[in-house]
Order: sequence, then structure tokens, then C-alpha cells
Amino acid sequence: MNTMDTVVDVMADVFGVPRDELGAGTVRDDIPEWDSLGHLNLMLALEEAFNVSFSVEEMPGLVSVAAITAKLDER
Amino acid sequence: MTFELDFTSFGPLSYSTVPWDSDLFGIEFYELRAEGPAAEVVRSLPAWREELRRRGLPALAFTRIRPDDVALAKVLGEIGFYPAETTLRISLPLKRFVPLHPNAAGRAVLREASAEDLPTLVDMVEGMFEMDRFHLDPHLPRQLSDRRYAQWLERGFHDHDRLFVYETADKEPMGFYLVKGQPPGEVDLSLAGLSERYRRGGAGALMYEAVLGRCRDLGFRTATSTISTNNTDVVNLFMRLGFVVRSAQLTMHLFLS
Repeated sequence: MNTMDTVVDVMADVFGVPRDELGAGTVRDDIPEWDSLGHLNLMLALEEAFNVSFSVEEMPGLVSVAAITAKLDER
Repeated sequence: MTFELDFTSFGPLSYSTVPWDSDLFGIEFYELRAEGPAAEVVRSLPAWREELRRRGLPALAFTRIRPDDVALAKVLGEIGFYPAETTLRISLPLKRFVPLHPNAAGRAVLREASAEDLPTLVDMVEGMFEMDRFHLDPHLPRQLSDRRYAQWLERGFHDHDRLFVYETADKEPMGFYLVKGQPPGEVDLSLAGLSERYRRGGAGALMYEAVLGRCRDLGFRTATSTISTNNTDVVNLFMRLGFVVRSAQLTMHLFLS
């Protein structure tokens, strides 16, 4: 399973949306549940899934599947 | 921070000028209270509006009513009032507060603000309150509405309300929270702001949790706040933090020119 697949799995779980509605082009505005608290929940779930830690400075920019995947691939 | 108004009776109505808003916006501001018998309120409103015209134009009057008082809203609408904002009064017993993200709390620091912090925090106010009634009312310049909140922040600090700064480990301020202690054991979360860079990025949720934990540690038993239903992000956040709604208010504006 590649990084993006895992990111999509985590997002589907955190936001309770069907996995097949998510993909490389998914951005924050596509998901009503992705509000400020939802964003924090997503960041923490991704940290657990990938065993990484995001700083509070990094978190605001991670607002799409593509951006999150790129950031995780840098690690 | 105390704002005292001096109400004048007008039959079943009472009204007061709002000096700080009049000074800031350069037009007459009034608060109206319509609490008398409905039939008398209906009869008095047109004469009251003429009284405002005599006192000077332009003017903006506002009044707060229960959202379910449709009859009063209709009467107010007939003399030119329009709905501006619905707010919720919410509260949380702090002994019931449990942080939603305890493992994330160490990424940032909540500390008391100093006078040196004020200019940076005032800058954060710009564009922060775009969903409140002052920013949404087309009769009011948005820059002055921002200035109104900046003054609120400055007055609160100088009146010894507690002003917290939320900052990164590198001491970059991300946000602020102004809270006001009130007897008996209540604390009102009166004004919060986030730097534009950190809005909707999760830092706000962490800051709210940190502030609630600090208020509990300071010995306050209950936290209260007033939030706008226009800002669903904030409504959802407070609900998930455990707050419950105590009452709702509809604020209506009347602009006279």
C-alpha cells in the first residue's frame, strides 16, 4: 500500500466518508466534516498511522490529499 | 471591562446611546429594548423611530430579541429593522471538561500576555470576525469593525481581564484569548483570535482546550461564552468540547439616514 492509499484510508475513517469518494484530487472544501477540529483529528490520526509528528507550523498547509502525501513522502 | 449604558424610557420601550460605537463609526448608535406589552410596543415603535431621526442622522439602532418571538420580529421589520445575527449563550461546567487532544497539548504554549504583545495581537484581529453582525452589515465599514474588536482587546487588557497568548515552541504568537472572571466562579470567554496563517489549521482547537484547562486550574467552576451561529466551525468546536446552549438571541439592526 502506498502513502496516498494509507492517507485516504485514514481520512475515510476520521471523517466517516466512503473511501471511494476520496482520491488524489480531494481538498479540504470537498469534505464538510473537515473543519478546524476535524483537521486536528486528521493530523493526529495521520501521525499515529505513519509514526511521525507534525509541528503546529506545518499543520495549516496540509489541506489536501496531495499536500499530505507529499509531506509524508518527504519524511 | 465594563460597558455601562444609560437607558431612557420611551413608553414601553427603553433605549440608550452606545457612546463607544458612536465615536468609532461616526454615526449615532443606539440599543433598543422592547420589553413592554406587545400592543403598546407596536404603537410606540414608529414614534420612537421619529425620535431617533430628530436626534440626528445617520443612526444605527440594534435590539436583541428571542428568535422564537416572531410577532415582535414582524413588528420590528415593519419599521425597518432587519435580522443581523443570531447568537447562542453557551456554558460548560469546568469539572466536566476533558481535553479532546491531551497528547497534542505540548506542541504550543499558553501564557499570560504582556503589554509588549498587544500590537501583534491587535494585528491578528484584522479579518478575524468577518461573520459577525458588524462585518456583515453593509452600512458599517469593515475596517472600523476590525478596529472595534481591537479596541475591545486593548480595553480588556488594560482593565485587567486575563489575556492569554498561544504561541509555538519558537515563540511565534498563533492566537490570543481574552477571558473575564465573573462571580460566582464563572469565567466568560469573551474574545479569541488567530493569526491568519493558523486559521482552520487545528491550532484554534488546541488553544481553546488550553484556555479551558487553564481556567479550570485557576479555580473557575463554569465557562461561558456567546457565539454566532454564522460561524459553524466555532459552534461545532464548542459543542464537541462539551458546551451546552443556554439561550439564543436574534439581533436586529435599523439603519436610518
